[in-house]
Amino acid sequence: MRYGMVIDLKRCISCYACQMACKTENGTPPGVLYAWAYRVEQGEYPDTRQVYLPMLCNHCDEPGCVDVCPTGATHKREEDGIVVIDADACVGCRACMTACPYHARYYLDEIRGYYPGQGLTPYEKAMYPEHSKRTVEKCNFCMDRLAEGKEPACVANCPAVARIFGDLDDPDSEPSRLIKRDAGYQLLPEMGTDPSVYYLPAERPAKAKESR
Amino acid sequence: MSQPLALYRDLEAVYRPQRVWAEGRAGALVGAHFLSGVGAGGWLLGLVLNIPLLLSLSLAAIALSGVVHLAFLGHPERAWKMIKRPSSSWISRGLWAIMIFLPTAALYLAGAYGAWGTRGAFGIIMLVISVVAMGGIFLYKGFVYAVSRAVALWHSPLLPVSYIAVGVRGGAAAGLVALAFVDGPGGHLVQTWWIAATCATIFLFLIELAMGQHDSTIGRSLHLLIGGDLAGVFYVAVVGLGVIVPAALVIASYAASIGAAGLIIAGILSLAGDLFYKYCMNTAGTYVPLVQATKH
Repeated sequence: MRYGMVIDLKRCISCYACQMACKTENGTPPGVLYAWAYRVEQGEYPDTRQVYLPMLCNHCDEPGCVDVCPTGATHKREEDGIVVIDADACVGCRACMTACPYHARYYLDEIRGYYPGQGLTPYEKAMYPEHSKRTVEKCNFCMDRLAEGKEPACVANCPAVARIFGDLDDPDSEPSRLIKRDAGYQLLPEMGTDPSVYYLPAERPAKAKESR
Repeated sequence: MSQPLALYRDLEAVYRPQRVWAEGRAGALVGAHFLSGVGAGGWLLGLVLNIPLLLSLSLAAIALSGVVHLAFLGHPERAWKMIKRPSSSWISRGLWAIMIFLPTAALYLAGAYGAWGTRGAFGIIMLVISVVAMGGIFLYKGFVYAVSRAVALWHSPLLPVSYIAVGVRGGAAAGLVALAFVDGPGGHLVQTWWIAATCATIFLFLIELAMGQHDSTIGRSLHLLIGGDLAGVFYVAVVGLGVIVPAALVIASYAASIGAAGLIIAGILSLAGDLFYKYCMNTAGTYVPLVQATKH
Protein backbone atom coordinates (compact mmCIF):
# COMPACT_ATOMS: atom_id res chain seq x y z
CA MET A 1 0.00 0.00 0.00
CA ARG A 2 1.12 3.53 -0.74
CA TYR A 3 -1.01 6.31 0.65
CA GLY A 4 -1.22 9.34 -1.57
CA MET A 5 -3.29 12.43 -2.29
CA VAL A 6 -4.64 14.16 -5.34
CA ILE A 7 -5.27 17.91 -5.21
CA ASP A 8 -7.57 19.17 -7.93
CA LEU A 9 -6.54 22.74 -8.70
CA LYS A 10 -9.70 23.25 -10.72
CA ARG A 11 -11.87 22.51 -7.70
CA CYS A 12 -9.73 24.36 -5.15
CA ILE A 13 -11.36 27.68 -4.18
CA SER A 14 -8.45 29.01 -2.09
CA CYS A 15 -10.47 29.06 1.12
CA TYR A 16 -7.66 27.85 3.43
CA ALA A 17 -9.99 25.35 5.10
CA CYS A 18 -7.29 22.67 4.68
CA GLN A 19 -4.76 24.88 6.45
CA MET A 20 -7.11 25.63 9.33
CA ALA A 21 -8.28 22.04 9.65
CA CYS A 22 -4.67 20.92 9.84
CA LYS A 23 -3.79 23.48 12.48
CA THR A 24 -6.84 22.48 14.50
CA GLU A 25 -6.12 18.79 14.21
CA ASN A 26 -2.43 19.06 15.05
CA GLY A 27 -2.39 22.09 17.34
CA THR A 28 0.64 23.57 15.64
CA PRO A 29 2.14 26.75 17.10
CA PRO A 30 2.53 30.02 15.18
CA GLY A 31 4.83 29.76 12.21
CA VAL A 32 4.21 26.05 11.69
CA LEU A 33 1.95 24.97 8.85
CA TYR A 34 1.86 21.31 7.95
CA ALA A 35 -0.65 22.23 5.24
CA TRP A 36 -0.41 25.61 3.60
CA ALA A 37 -0.77 27.34 0.28
CA TYR A 38 1.39 29.40 -1.97
CA ARG A 39 -0.46 32.36 -3.35
CA VAL A 40 1.71 34.24 -5.78
CA GLU A 41 0.86 36.85 -8.39
CA GLN A 42 2.73 36.48 -11.63
CA GLY A 43 3.13 38.51 -14.79
CA GLU A 44 2.58 42.19 -15.56
CA TYR A 45 -0.67 43.98 -16.22
CA PRO A 46 -2.74 43.10 -18.19
CA ASP A 47 -1.21 39.66 -18.56
CA THR A 48 -1.35 38.58 -14.93
CA ARG A 49 -2.53 35.57 -13.01
CA GLN A 50 -2.66 34.35 -9.46
CA VAL A 51 -1.08 31.03 -8.74
CA TYR A 52 -2.60 29.21 -5.80
CA LEU A 53 -0.89 26.02 -4.80
CA PRO A 54 -1.99 24.01 -1.75
CA MET A 55 0.96 22.19 -0.23
CA LEU A 56 1.80 19.55 2.34
CA CYS A 57 4.48 16.93 2.87
CA ASN A 58 4.62 14.96 -0.37
CA HIS A 59 5.46 11.67 1.38
CA CYS A 60 7.91 10.85 -1.39
CA ASP A 61 8.60 7.31 -2.42
CA GLU A 62 12.29 8.28 -2.72
CA PRO A 63 12.50 10.85 0.07
CA GLY A 64 15.64 12.93 0.16
CA CYS A 65 14.94 13.79 3.79
CA VAL A 66 15.28 10.15 4.82
CA ASP A 67 18.66 9.76 3.12
CA VAL A 68 20.23 12.75 4.83
CA CYS A 69 18.89 12.09 8.34
CA PRO A 70 21.92 11.05 10.41
CA THR A 71 19.92 9.26 13.11
CA GLY A 72 17.12 7.56 11.19
CA ALA A 73 14.58 9.77 12.97
CA THR A 74 13.00 10.46 9.60
CA HIS A 75 11.91 7.22 7.98
CA LYS A 76 9.36 5.87 5.56
CA ARG A 77 6.86 3.34 6.89
CA GLU A 78 7.04 0.19 4.84
CA GLU A 79 3.38 -0.67 5.35
CA ASP A 80 1.90 2.48 3.81
CA GLY A 81 4.71 4.72 2.52
CA ILE A 82 4.05 7.53 5.01
CA VAL A 83 7.21 9.48 5.87
CA VAL A 84 7.30 10.07 9.61
CA ILE A 85 9.64 11.64 12.17
CA ASP A 86 10.52 10.04 15.47
CA ALA A 87 10.82 13.15 17.65
CA ASP A 88 12.76 11.23 20.31
CA ALA A 89 15.48 10.37 17.79
CA CYS A 90 15.70 13.77 16.08
CA VAL A 91 18.87 15.70 16.97
CA GLY A 92 17.69 18.91 15.34
CA CYS A 93 20.38 19.14 12.66
CA ARG A 94 17.82 20.35 10.10
CA ALA A 95 19.49 18.56 7.19
CA CYS A 96 16.09 17.18 6.21
CA MET A 97 14.79 20.71 5.83
CA THR A 98 17.44 21.63 3.31
CA ALA A 99 16.89 18.36 1.46
CA CYS A 100 13.12 18.76 1.12
CA PRO A 101 12.15 20.49 -2.14
CA TYR A 102 8.59 20.99 -0.89
CA HIS A 103 9.36 23.08 2.23
CA ALA A 104 7.30 20.65 4.27
CA ARG A 105 9.36 20.69 7.44
CA TYR A 106 9.53 23.00 10.40
CA TYR A 107 12.05 23.35 13.17
CA LEU A 108 10.49 24.15 16.53
CA ASP A 109 13.07 26.43 18.08
CA GLU A 110 10.52 27.45 20.64
CA ILE A 111 6.82 26.88 21.14
CA ARG A 112 4.92 30.12 21.52
CA GLY A 113 1.26 30.76 22.03
CA TYR A 114 -0.93 32.70 19.64
CA TYR A 115 -1.57 35.46 22.17
CA PRO A 116 1.77 36.82 23.41
CA GLY A 117 1.71 38.01 27.00
CA GLN A 118 -1.55 36.27 27.77
CA GLY A 119 -0.27 32.76 28.33
CA LEU A 120 -1.45 29.68 26.53
CA THR A 121 -5.09 29.04 25.76
CA PRO A 122 -6.65 25.82 27.13
CA TYR A 123 -6.50 24.40 23.61
CA GLU A 124 -2.80 25.24 23.31
CA LYS A 125 -2.14 23.71 26.73
CA ALA A 126 -3.86 20.56 25.57
CA MET A 127 -2.14 20.32 22.19
CA TYR A 128 1.39 21.66 22.71
CA PRO A 129 2.65 18.66 24.72
CA GLU A 130 2.35 16.75 21.45
CA HIS A 131 5.22 18.84 20.07
CA SER A 132 8.91 18.55 20.92
CA LYS A 133 11.05 21.65 21.10
CA ARG A 134 14.24 21.81 19.02
CA THR A 135 13.15 19.03 16.69
CA VAL A 136 11.73 18.99 13.18
CA GLU A 137 8.04 18.38 12.48
CA LYS A 138 5.83 17.92 9.46
CA CYS A 139 2.59 16.42 8.14
CA ASN A 140 2.14 12.71 8.69
CA PHE A 141 -1.05 12.33 6.65
CA CYS A 142 -2.93 12.36 10.01
CA MET A 143 -1.82 8.79 10.63
CA ASP A 144 -3.72 8.68 13.92
CA ARG A 145 -6.93 9.46 12.05
CA LEU A 146 -6.05 6.89 9.39
CA ALA A 147 -5.68 4.28 12.13
CA GLU A 148 -9.25 5.09 13.16
CA GLY A 149 -10.48 4.71 9.61
CA LYS A 150 -10.83 8.45 9.01
CA GLU A 151 -9.40 10.61 6.24
CA PRO A 152 -6.70 13.22 6.91
CA ALA A 153 -8.18 16.40 8.38
CA CYS A 154 -7.36 18.52 5.31
CA VAL A 155 -9.22 16.04 3.10
CA ALA A 156 -12.23 15.66 5.36
CA ASN A 157 -12.65 19.42 5.73
CA CYS A 158 -12.19 20.54 2.13
CA PRO A 159 -15.58 22.05 1.18
CA ALA A 160 -14.82 21.82 -2.54
CA VAL A 161 -13.75 18.17 -2.40
CA ALA A 162 -10.51 19.23 -4.04
CA ARG A 163 -8.47 16.72 -2.04
CA ILE A 164 -8.82 13.02 -2.68
CA PHE A 165 -6.95 10.51 -0.54
CA GLY A 166 -6.29 6.83 -1.13
CA ASP A 167 -3.95 4.05 -2.16
CA LEU A 168 -1.78 4.88 -5.14
CA ASP A 169 -0.77 1.25 -5.52
CA ASP A 170 -4.38 0.32 -6.21
CA PRO A 171 -5.11 1.15 -9.85
CA ASP A 172 -8.85 1.23 -9.10
CA SER A 173 -8.61 3.72 -6.22
CA GLU A 174 -10.07 7.17 -6.87
CA PRO A 175 -6.69 8.94 -6.70
CA SER A 176 -5.18 6.51 -9.21
CA ARG A 177 -8.17 6.86 -11.50
CA LEU A 178 -8.07 10.67 -11.39
CA ILE A 179 -4.34 10.83 -11.96
CA LYS A 180 -4.74 8.70 -15.06
CA ARG A 181 -7.86 10.40 -16.38
CA ASP A 182 -6.87 14.02 -15.79
CA ALA A 183 -3.13 13.82 -16.35
CA GLY A 184 -2.20 14.29 -12.72
CA TYR A 185 1.32 15.50 -12.19
CA GLN A 186 3.86 15.66 -9.39
CA LEU A 187 5.75 18.77 -8.35
CA LEU A 188 9.41 18.93 -9.29
CA PRO A 189 9.64 15.39 -10.70
CA GLU A 190 13.19 16.20 -11.80
CA MET A 191 14.21 15.96 -8.13
CA GLY A 192 13.76 12.20 -8.37
CA THR A 193 11.74 12.01 -5.17
CA ASP A 194 8.59 10.46 -6.68
CA PRO A 195 6.07 12.34 -4.50
CA SER A 196 2.83 10.72 -3.37
CA VAL A 197 0.95 13.99 -3.79
CA TYR A 198 -0.37 14.66 -7.27
CA TYR A 199 -2.01 17.73 -8.74
CA LEU A 200 -4.72 17.93 -11.36
CA PRO A 201 -4.25 20.96 -13.63
CA ALA A 202 -6.56 23.95 -13.21
CA GLU A 203 -7.14 24.02 -16.93
CA ARG A 204 -7.89 20.67 -18.48
CA PRO A 205 -8.95 19.43 -21.89
CA ALA A 206 -12.71 19.19 -22.44
CA LYS A 207 -12.73 15.40 -22.31
CA ALA A 208 -11.37 15.53 -18.77
CA LYS A 209 -14.10 17.88 -17.50
CA GLU A 210 -16.69 15.22 -16.99
CA SER A 211 -18.19 15.00 -13.55
CA ARG A 212 -16.65 12.78 -10.93
CA MET B 1 12.65 38.54 11.60
CA SER B 2 10.46 36.26 13.70
CA GLN B 3 9.82 32.77 12.44
CA PRO B 4 6.12 33.33 11.63
CA LEU B 5 6.78 36.59 9.81
CA ALA B 6 9.61 35.03 7.81
CA LEU B 7 7.37 32.12 6.93
CA TYR B 8 4.52 34.30 5.73
CA ARG B 9 6.90 36.36 3.62
CA ASP B 10 8.39 33.18 2.18
CA LEU B 11 4.92 31.97 1.23
CA GLU B 12 4.65 34.91 -1.15
CA ALA B 13 8.06 34.42 -2.70
CA VAL B 14 8.67 32.48 -5.88
CA TYR B 15 12.32 32.00 -4.93
CA ARG B 16 12.16 30.92 -1.32
CA PRO B 17 15.37 31.55 0.67
CA GLN B 18 16.98 28.79 2.63
CA ARG B 19 16.96 29.93 6.24
CA VAL B 20 17.57 26.97 8.51
CA TRP B 21 21.30 26.83 7.79
CA ALA B 22 21.68 30.59 7.45
CA GLU B 23 19.93 32.30 10.33
CA GLY B 24 19.90 32.13 14.12
CA ARG B 25 22.09 29.40 15.51
CA ALA B 26 23.18 28.44 12.00
CA GLY B 27 26.22 30.61 12.63
CA ALA B 28 27.48 27.70 14.70
CA LEU B 29 27.14 25.39 11.72
CA VAL B 30 29.04 27.81 9.49
CA GLY B 31 31.73 28.11 12.15
CA ALA B 32 31.96 24.37 12.62
CA HIS B 33 32.37 23.70 8.92
CA PHE B 34 34.93 26.49 8.68
CA LEU B 35 36.97 25.16 11.60
CA SER B 36 36.93 21.58 10.39
CA GLY B 37 38.07 22.72 6.94
CA VAL B 38 40.92 24.77 8.40
CA GLY B 39 41.88 21.84 10.61
CA ALA B 40 41.97 19.34 7.77
CA GLY B 41 43.89 21.75 5.54
CA GLY B 42 46.33 22.57 8.31
CA TRP B 43 46.88 18.91 9.12
CA LEU B 44 47.73 18.22 5.48
CA LEU B 45 50.13 21.14 5.20
CA GLY B 46 51.65 20.46 8.61
CA LEU B 47 52.44 16.89 7.61
CA VAL B 48 53.81 17.82 4.18
CA LEU B 49 56.05 20.60 5.50
CA ASN B 50 56.63 19.11 8.96
CA ILE B 51 55.40 21.99 11.09
CA PRO B 52 54.37 20.55 14.49
CA LEU B 53 52.84 23.84 15.67
CA LEU B 54 50.53 23.81 12.65
CA LEU B 55 49.59 20.22 13.42
CA SER B 56 48.68 21.25 16.95
CA LEU B 57 46.58 24.18 15.73
CA SER B 58 44.82 21.90 13.27
CA LEU B 59 44.00 19.33 15.91
CA ALA B 60 42.63 22.08 18.13
CA ALA B 61 40.55 23.49 15.27
CA ILE B 62 38.94 20.14 14.53
CA ALA B 63 38.29 19.46 18.21
CA LEU B 64 36.69 22.89 18.49
CA SER B 65 34.64 22.23 15.35
CA GLY B 66 33.20 19.16 17.04
CA VAL B 67 32.10 21.25 20.02
CA VAL B 68 30.64 23.96 17.78
CA HIS B 69 28.81 21.31 15.73
CA LEU B 70 27.16 20.16 18.94
CA ALA B 71 26.20 23.73 19.79
CA PHE B 72 24.24 23.91 16.54
CA LEU B 73 22.16 20.83 17.21
CA GLY B 74 18.74 21.13 18.75
CA HIS B 75 19.49 18.13 20.96
CA PRO B 76 23.27 17.74 21.35
CA GLU B 77 22.73 15.11 24.04
CA ARG B 78 21.45 12.82 21.29
CA ALA B 79 24.50 13.36 19.05
CA TRP B 80 25.67 9.80 19.68
CA LYS B 81 22.70 8.65 17.62
CA MET B 82 24.31 10.23 14.55
CA ILE B 83 26.80 7.39 14.28
CA LYS B 84 23.97 5.18 13.02
CA ARG B 85 23.65 6.16 9.39
CA PRO B 86 27.07 6.33 7.68
CA SER B 87 25.59 4.34 4.83
CA SER B 88 23.54 7.29 3.61
CA SER B 89 24.15 10.42 5.67
CA TRP B 90 27.20 12.61 5.14
CA ILE B 91 26.61 14.16 8.57
CA SER B 92 27.04 10.72 10.04
CA ARG B 93 30.18 10.14 7.97
CA GLY B 94 31.55 13.48 9.10
CA LEU B 95 31.00 12.57 12.72
CA TRP B 96 32.82 9.29 12.20
CA ALA B 97 35.71 11.09 10.48
CA ILE B 98 36.08 13.57 13.36
CA MET B 99 35.77 10.84 15.99
CA ILE B 100 38.50 8.81 14.30
CA PHE B 101 40.71 11.81 13.56
CA LEU B 102 40.88 13.28 17.05
CA PRO B 103 42.45 10.35 18.94
CA THR B 104 44.71 9.18 16.12
CA ALA B 105 45.95 12.68 15.34
CA ALA B 106 46.52 13.36 19.05
CA LEU B 107 48.55 10.16 19.38
CA TYR B 108 50.57 10.95 16.25
CA LEU B 109 51.20 14.45 17.53
CA ALA B 110 52.33 13.12 20.88
CA GLY B 111 54.84 11.04 18.96
CA ALA B 112 55.94 14.06 16.94
CA TYR B 113 56.66 15.92 20.17
CA GLY B 114 58.83 13.06 21.33
CA ALA B 115 56.60 10.79 23.38
CA TRP B 116 57.31 7.74 21.25
CA GLY B 117 58.46 9.05 17.87
CA THR B 118 56.67 8.95 14.56
CA ARG B 119 58.73 6.44 12.64
CA GLY B 120 57.75 3.32 14.55
CA ALA B 121 54.88 1.09 13.53
CA PHE B 122 52.52 2.74 16.01
CA GLY B 123 53.32 6.24 14.80
CA ILE B 124 52.91 5.23 11.16
CA ILE B 125 49.56 3.56 11.85
CA MET B 126 48.31 6.66 13.65
CA LEU B 127 49.56 8.81 10.77
CA VAL B 128 47.80 6.72 8.13
CA ILE B 129 44.50 6.57 10.03
CA SER B 130 44.57 10.29 10.79
CA VAL B 131 45.22 11.08 7.12
CA VAL B 132 42.31 8.89 6.01
CA ALA B 133 40.08 10.61 8.59
CA MET B 134 41.39 13.98 7.40
CA GLY B 135 40.20 13.02 3.93
CA GLY B 136 36.76 12.32 5.36
CA ILE B 137 36.73 15.69 7.09
CA PHE B 138 37.70 17.40 3.83
CA LEU B 139 34.90 15.63 2.00
CA TYR B 140 31.90 15.54 4.30
CA LYS B 141 31.14 19.24 4.45
CA GLY B 142 30.77 19.71 0.75
CA PHE B 143 28.63 16.63 0.42
CA VAL B 144 26.38 17.61 3.33
CA TYR B 145 25.37 20.55 1.17
CA ALA B 146 25.65 18.90 -2.23
CA VAL B 147 23.10 16.20 -1.42
CA SER B 148 20.45 18.86 -0.76
CA ARG B 149 18.57 18.50 -4.01
CA ALA B 150 16.25 21.34 -3.14
CA VAL B 151 18.91 24.07 -2.96
CA ALA B 152 20.27 24.51 -6.46
CA LEU B 153 23.39 26.47 -5.52
CA TRP B 154 24.56 23.65 -3.25
CA HIS B 155 23.41 20.70 -5.32
CA SER B 156 26.49 20.71 -7.49
CA PRO B 157 29.32 18.23 -7.96
CA LEU B 158 31.63 21.22 -7.80
CA LEU B 159 30.73 22.18 -4.26
CA PRO B 160 32.64 19.38 -2.48
CA VAL B 161 35.69 20.13 -4.62
CA SER B 162 35.31 23.82 -3.92
CA TYR B 163 35.06 23.22 -0.16
CA ILE B 164 38.16 21.05 -0.25
CA ALA B 165 40.01 23.93 -1.92
CA VAL B 166 38.70 26.33 0.73
CA GLY B 167 39.88 23.93 3.43
CA VAL B 168 43.36 23.68 1.91
CA ARG B 169 43.46 27.49 1.69
CA GLY B 170 42.38 27.75 5.31
CA GLY B 171 45.12 25.35 6.34
CA ALA B 172 47.65 27.44 4.46
CA ALA B 173 46.37 30.58 6.20
CA ALA B 174 46.81 28.86 9.54
CA GLY B 175 50.29 27.95 8.32
CA LEU B 176 51.06 31.63 7.70
CA VAL B 177 50.08 32.38 11.31
CA ALA B 178 52.21 29.47 12.55
CA LEU B 179 55.21 30.77 10.58
CA ALA B 180 55.10 33.91 12.70
CA PHE B 181 56.01 31.84 15.75
CA VAL B 182 58.26 29.06 14.48
CA ASP B 183 60.86 28.57 11.80
CA GLY B 184 59.18 27.01 8.82
CA PRO B 185 60.54 25.52 5.64
CA GLY B 186 62.54 27.77 3.38
CA GLY B 187 61.60 28.80 -0.12
CA HIS B 188 58.28 30.38 0.86
CA LEU B 189 56.57 27.01 0.58
CA VAL B 190 53.65 27.98 2.82
CA GLN B 191 53.09 31.15 0.84
CA THR B 192 53.18 29.24 -2.43
CA TRP B 193 50.74 26.70 -1.02
CA TRP B 194 48.39 29.54 -0.01
CA ILE B 195 48.56 31.15 -3.45
CA ALA B 196 47.88 27.84 -5.20
CA ALA B 197 44.89 27.07 -2.97
CA THR B 198 43.53 30.59 -3.36
CA CYS B 199 43.81 30.38 -7.14
CA ALA B 200 42.01 27.00 -7.09
CA THR B 201 39.24 28.42 -4.88
CA ILE B 202 38.74 31.42 -7.15
CA PHE B 203 38.82 29.24 -10.26
CA LEU B 204 36.15 26.91 -8.87
CA PHE B 205 33.96 29.84 -7.84
CA LEU B 206 34.22 31.31 -11.33
CA ILE B 207 33.09 27.99 -12.79
CA GLU B 208 30.10 28.06 -10.45
CA LEU B 209 29.36 31.58 -11.65
CA ALA B 210 29.49 30.39 -15.25
CA MET B 211 27.22 27.42 -14.46
CA GLY B 212 24.74 29.76 -12.83
CA GLN B 213 24.11 31.46 -16.15
CA HIS B 214 22.05 28.45 -17.25
CA ASP B 215 19.98 27.88 -14.10
CA SER B 216 17.60 30.53 -12.88
CA THR B 217 17.73 29.41 -9.23
CA ILE B 218 21.53 29.28 -9.13
CA GLY B 219 21.56 32.58 -10.96
CA ARG B 220 19.31 34.01 -8.26
CA SER B 221 21.69 32.81 -5.54
CA LEU B 222 24.73 34.17 -7.32
CA HIS B 223 22.96 37.46 -7.86
CA LEU B 224 22.44 37.67 -4.09
CA LEU B 225 26.19 37.21 -3.70
CA ILE B 226 27.51 39.57 -6.30
CA GLY B 227 24.73 42.10 -6.71
CA GLY B 228 22.14 41.56 -3.99
CA ASP B 229 21.81 41.66 -0.22
CA LEU B 230 25.07 39.77 0.34
CA ALA B 231 27.17 41.80 -2.08
CA GLY B 232 28.57 44.09 0.62
CA VAL B 233 29.80 41.18 2.73
CA PHE B 234 31.03 39.34 -0.33
CA TYR B 235 33.07 42.17 -1.84
CA VAL B 236 34.40 43.65 1.40
CA ALA B 237 34.93 40.63 3.66
CA VAL B 238 35.42 37.79 1.20
CA VAL B 239 37.14 39.43 -1.77
CA GLY B 240 38.77 42.49 -0.25
CA LEU B 241 39.86 41.39 3.20
CA GLY B 242 39.94 37.66 2.49
CA VAL B 243 41.77 37.61 -0.82
CA ILE B 244 43.20 40.93 -2.03
CA VAL B 245 44.85 42.19 1.18
CA PRO B 246 46.41 38.83 2.18
CA ALA B 247 47.47 38.24 -1.42
CA ALA B 248 49.28 41.56 -1.45
CA LEU B 249 51.05 40.70 1.79
CA VAL B 250 51.95 37.17 0.71
CA ILE B 251 53.27 38.32 -2.66
CA ALA B 252 55.26 41.05 -0.93
CA SER B 253 56.83 38.42 1.33
CA TYR B 254 58.65 36.95 -1.68
CA ALA B 255 60.49 40.20 -2.22
CA ALA B 256 61.08 41.24 1.38
CA SER B 257 60.29 40.09 4.87
CA ILE B 258 56.88 41.25 6.04
CA GLY B 259 57.67 40.20 9.58
CA ALA B 260 55.63 38.16 12.01
CA ALA B 261 52.90 40.79 12.13
CA GLY B 262 52.49 40.70 8.36
CA LEU B 263 52.18 36.92 8.35
CA ILE B 264 49.66 36.97 11.17
CA ILE B 265 47.57 39.66 9.48
CA ALA B 266 47.62 37.82 6.15
CA GLY B 267 46.67 34.55 7.79
CA ILE B 268 43.89 35.93 9.95
CA LEU B 269 42.36 37.99 7.15
CA SER B 270 42.43 34.98 4.87
CA LEU B 271 40.72 32.88 7.52
CA ALA B 272 38.11 35.57 8.12
CA GLY B 273 37.47 35.70 4.38
CA ASP B 274 36.88 31.95 4.31
CA LEU B 275 34.48 32.17 7.23
CA PHE B 276 32.46 34.88 5.49
CA TYR B 277 32.58 32.93 2.23
CA LYS B 278 30.91 29.98 3.94
CA TYR B 279 28.38 32.30 5.53
CA CYS B 280 27.61 33.81 2.13
CA MET B 281 27.25 30.41 0.47
CA ASN B 282 24.85 29.25 3.16
CA THR B 283 22.81 32.43 3.11
CA ALA B 284 22.63 32.59 -0.69
CA GLY B 285 21.04 29.14 -0.84
CA THR B 286 17.68 29.36 -2.56
CA TYR B 287 15.10 26.62 -3.04
CA VAL B 288 14.07 25.53 -6.50
CA PRO B 289 10.76 27.35 -7.05
CA LEU B 290 7.60 25.33 -6.64
CA VAL B 291 5.15 27.74 -8.15
CA GLN B 292 6.84 27.65 -11.53
CA ALA B 293 6.56 23.89 -11.44
CA THR B 294 2.78 23.90 -11.30
CA LYS B 295 0.54 23.77 -14.35
CA HIS B 296 -2.12 26.42 -13.93
